[in-house]
Amino acid sequence: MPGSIAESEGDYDPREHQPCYIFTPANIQPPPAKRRKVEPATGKRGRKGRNTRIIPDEEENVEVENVEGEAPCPFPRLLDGEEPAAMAVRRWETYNRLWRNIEETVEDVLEGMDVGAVNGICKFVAEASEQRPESNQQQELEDLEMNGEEAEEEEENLFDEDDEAETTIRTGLVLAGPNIASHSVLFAKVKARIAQEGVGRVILLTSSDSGGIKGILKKIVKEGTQGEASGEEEDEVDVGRDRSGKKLLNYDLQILVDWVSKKGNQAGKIVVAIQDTEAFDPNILAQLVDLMIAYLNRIPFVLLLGVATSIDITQSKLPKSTIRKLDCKKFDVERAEECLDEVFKHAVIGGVDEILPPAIHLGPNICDLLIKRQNEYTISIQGFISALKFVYMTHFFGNPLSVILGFESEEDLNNVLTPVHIKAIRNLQSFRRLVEHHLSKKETHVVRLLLSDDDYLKTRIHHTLIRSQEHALQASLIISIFKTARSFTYVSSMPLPPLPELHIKLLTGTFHNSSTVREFLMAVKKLNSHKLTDFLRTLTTQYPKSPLSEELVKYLAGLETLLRDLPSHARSIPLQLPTSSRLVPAPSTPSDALGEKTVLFNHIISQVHTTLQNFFSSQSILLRDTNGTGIENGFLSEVICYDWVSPSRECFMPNIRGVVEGAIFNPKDWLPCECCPGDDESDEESEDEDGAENEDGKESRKRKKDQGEMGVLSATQPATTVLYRLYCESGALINMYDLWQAFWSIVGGDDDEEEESQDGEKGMTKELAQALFYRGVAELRFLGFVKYTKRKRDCLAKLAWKGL
Amino acid sequence: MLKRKRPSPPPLPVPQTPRRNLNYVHAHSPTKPSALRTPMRPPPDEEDEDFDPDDLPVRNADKSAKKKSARALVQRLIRGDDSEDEEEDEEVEELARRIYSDDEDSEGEGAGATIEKETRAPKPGAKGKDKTPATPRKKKAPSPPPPNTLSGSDLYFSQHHRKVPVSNNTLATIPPLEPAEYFRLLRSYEDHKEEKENLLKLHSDSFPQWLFELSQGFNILLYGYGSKKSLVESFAEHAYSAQPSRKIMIVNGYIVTLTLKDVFNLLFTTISPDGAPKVAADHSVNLETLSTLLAERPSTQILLLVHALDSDALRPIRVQSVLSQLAHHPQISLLATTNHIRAPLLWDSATLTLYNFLFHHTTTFINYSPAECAAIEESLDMGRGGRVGGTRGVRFVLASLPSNAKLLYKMLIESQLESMSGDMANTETEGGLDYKVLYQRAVEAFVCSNDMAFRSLLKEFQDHQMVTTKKDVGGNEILCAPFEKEQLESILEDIAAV
Repeated sequence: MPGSIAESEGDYDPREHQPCYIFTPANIQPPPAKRRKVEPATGKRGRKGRNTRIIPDEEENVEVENVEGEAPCPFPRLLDGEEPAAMAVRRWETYNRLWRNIEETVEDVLEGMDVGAVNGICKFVAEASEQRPESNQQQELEDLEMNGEEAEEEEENLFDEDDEAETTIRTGLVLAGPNIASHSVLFAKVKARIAQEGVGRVILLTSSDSGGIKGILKKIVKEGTQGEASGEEEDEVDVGRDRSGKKLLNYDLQILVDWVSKKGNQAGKIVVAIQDTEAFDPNILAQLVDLMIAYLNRIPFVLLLGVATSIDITQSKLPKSTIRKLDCKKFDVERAEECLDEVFKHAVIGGVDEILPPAIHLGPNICDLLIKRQNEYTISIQGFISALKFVYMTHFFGNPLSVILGFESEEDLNNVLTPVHIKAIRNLQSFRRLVEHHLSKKETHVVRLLLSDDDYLKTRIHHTLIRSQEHALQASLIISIFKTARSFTYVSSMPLPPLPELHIKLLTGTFHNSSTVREFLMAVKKLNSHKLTDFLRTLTTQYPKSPLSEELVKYLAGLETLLRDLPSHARSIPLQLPTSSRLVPAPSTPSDALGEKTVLFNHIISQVHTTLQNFFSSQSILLRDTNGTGIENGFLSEVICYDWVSPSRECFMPNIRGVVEGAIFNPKDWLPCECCPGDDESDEESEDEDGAENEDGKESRKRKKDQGEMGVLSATQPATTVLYRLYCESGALINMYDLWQAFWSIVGGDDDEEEESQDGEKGMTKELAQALFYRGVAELRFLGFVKYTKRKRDCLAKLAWKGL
Repeated sequence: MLKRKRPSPPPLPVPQTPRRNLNYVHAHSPTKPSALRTPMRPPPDEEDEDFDPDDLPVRNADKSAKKKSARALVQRLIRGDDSEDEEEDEEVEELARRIYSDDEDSEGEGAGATIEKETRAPKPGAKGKDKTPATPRKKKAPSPPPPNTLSGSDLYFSQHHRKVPVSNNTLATIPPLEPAEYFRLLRSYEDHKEEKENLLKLHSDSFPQWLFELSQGFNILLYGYGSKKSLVESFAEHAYSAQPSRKIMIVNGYIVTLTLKDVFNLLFTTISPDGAPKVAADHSVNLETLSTLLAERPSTQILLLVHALDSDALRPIRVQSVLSQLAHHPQISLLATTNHIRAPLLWDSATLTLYNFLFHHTTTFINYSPAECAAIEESLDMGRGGRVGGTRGVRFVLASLPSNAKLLYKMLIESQLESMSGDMANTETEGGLDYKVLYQRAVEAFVCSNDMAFRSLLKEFQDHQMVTTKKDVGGNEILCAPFEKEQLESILEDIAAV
């Protein structure tokens, strides 16, 4: 119910000028009943239309009341509103259930990811202070800096006094990778963990704090002394005053010293963690380090530096004198790719640890998009998960048949499949393909059953769904076998291509031909006998159920007997094929017997090679279904597979500038009016799209001819469009007067006499044109296309080049 | 310079650009510029048909002038393009260019012809109606290949590799438009009403989808051309009807004076109407307060609708970071709109992760209202004194100054207006006031007591470009408010009103 476009004249809306307000509907009415009447289906748009948004078919949205009465089901009823309300709710529930599963797995994975690093840091902090404190040589220095307010805390110092000055501070360098979005999460984890272990307390600093040393000290003092100490009120009284009762300034580290000495050993470490070291002002950091070292004998400081780039870069930013004072230890946090691999394995491929695979199969295109976005734009694992969630949302929101996913039993499934759904399934493209497939095999009875027997169709559906799960398991098996097997070969020194890449290859059926697999198979041939034994043993024990294992067990037995037969002195020397392609063993072998064995070994190894080769090619072909098509083209692929790229791309990787430019340049795409000339392309498009507009197209083309050279510019177009087109043609500096003249010549009609007289269709009054011109320029400026420039009077500087 | 129907310039040999040429000439062989250039000159083509043989001797004779002008150009380039006193050099530069354009025939029409045209262009004082330099050209030129056939990058380089001369016309010739008239005209004009409403309808079809997405922890960002205000408001209605318990809060980001404090204030009072906590100066404290408030009321759902998330008021990084943390809260969902084509540059990956945006393309083609787009109002000041910002800024500055400063400015304006009304022909010189005279008057009026105080008052005006200083022929300092008569009058009214 869009509001009226027309700005109501003279009707001043005070809310428009209010900074913020609470929305209340204009005409306050009781909230409408949730359930509205379902209007007869209008069904204007095909569900799989070109539109990239998931727009439900019917115009009116039919909210469905949730049975449980908690959060109402936000899903509209699809299938032209014929979808039973209960099924929409069920769809909603299914979505929630399936996504929650995935979310939980992913959370577990992520939880486990940083654990190592967090533990390491925690341990480091705990051990950091064994070398404690010592002299007061630095006292002078800090006295200078701290207003000389404290001079006599020698006797107060709890710690033994040593002659050696503390010159370095224990520092943990946390290499957290380029994804700065994950840093705060990581540091929050570290903070929580350190607090939990009672090792100390963490004061988290970010570059936004680096305004001044005072502010930082204030923060350190404040966070260092508050918090859990809330139970001990006497802190409030004591801390913050020196012995004479004078109040200390709130950034005086002496407060912290007092606090630490009061707490004694319970205080633990005071960990100062800087989240984004590179962005932190190096001078401030140097000062901070100096101060911390000066106080190190009284406050057990530990420093943590988060590094997003590399140690080298961080080092180059800091003064050398500061670096010398840092006693560093490096912590590698799990790298983003490994994290992604792991998440991808669990959330997309599935089948890990015999858990059922995810219900939706992601097709190669969407996988590719997700991974590309991940690698090239966000590098944030959270972003990946969001994108994945969006895929689920899209699927369940817009696809009425998605309700059949995630069923528990065949019976359950049959309940879900209402006649409406059956009808919808019979209308699927993939159903048609299935029927054609059977027809081509002359299996007419099957076709008849498919078309008329609902029960038969239901079994088929069930079968297909089960098969799709097997399919996913199989894919996951192939990849993990490959990964394990590959780790035995020398190729493993080269990095394994990321998991998603392998998966995409598998989906597109190019896996077994890929260079990765071929290299691996070559490398298998070069295994020596010891390695091969390990190799076979691992494969057979890890994957006892795989179709490979039977044969591999046989080879393993053969190999073992072969090795057992070797003379004892030769057993330690691994058998190996010569690196040259000759199959005949080299004459240098110690004895004929050994030579024989080599030939036997050669036999085994080539058998293993062939078996593996067959396995990979046959399996990945098997994945491609009976008629050579993958699951993405098989029966029910619309439901099982998700391979739409455009919704995700539009929602996550928008081309904002391109869209704005396109719209302004060619408003015809958005305003299919008859008055404006369109571009050639858009005309053709509209003709292509529906023949009904054919005449419109012709008309506008005729008009265009009439307009002759004016071509695509016309007075009826929005003023901003006209100006923008002029703008596109002009140089880097635009004289506003000339722009105005050009604009006027377009909107104001050609002849001067005409201009004042009638504001008919074409000509408009000069004042109006001027107003429109002003507004158009203002809009261009507002959108960021031009700016005023001081380089020349009344000129605009161009800021954006179309398509650049 | 706009040349819609200009024939595309003939291909230029790249080294022919004035800048490179001149640098080179200047640095290495100042004595023989033309000798160097001659071999590079393209062979005469059809462009040379209108090549005037009379030019030749002139060109040769003009070598020294050429050198001089080359130096002028080079110096100007060294000083940088943004030097503000460029206008003063305009004549020298133009002369230099004219001399060069003779030489660089290959630039053909492009440079030479335009400059000729410029010299013939009507004087600013003359009525521009009958003599419009752009229009006749437009009609004459038959079916040229439009220059915009070039792709973005090519066009960019072709427009930057040599300086396209821009005419010296100013908007002063157009009669000014009164604000009331302006807004009345804008309101009265409407195009494509039906189509725009269809477009809105199309977008509003996805409201249920948006609600669903918001409920799933995503936030939504609307982008695309056109005002999205009415769309967002109808979405608010939809959201309200779907769940009336939800608090819907609309933030008009385009309001210049909007601060985060306003937002927090409203949030606090909305969440706990009785006994709302005070808004602290530190927003991280506010965020904490907010999350404790929300944690106490787990059923509260807040929908934040922000118009123009990329507006000036919300553009600072700190504001964005606080907003992103707000939006990240599970009980708060955010639907925001942006307009600027480079809006995404506002967010780094950390902010973006917190925002968790889904981008939705909503082109509406609805014209921005003047409130939404401050540029619309400012555009009225176009062509008035060339000072960007117009009198609005002056008003702001004056409002913040003590009364004696206002008085001083009033005195200056009054004397300026007097001299303007005295001789209308002399509007160009903007009748400034001698420094000493103004000082004397100021002392007499007890605006200030000594020169120091006077200077410091003036300094404020100069910082805001409300007063400019010039030296007249006698070397006296002339102070002047750089505005047109109408503007001066309106400022005077404002001062008097306060």
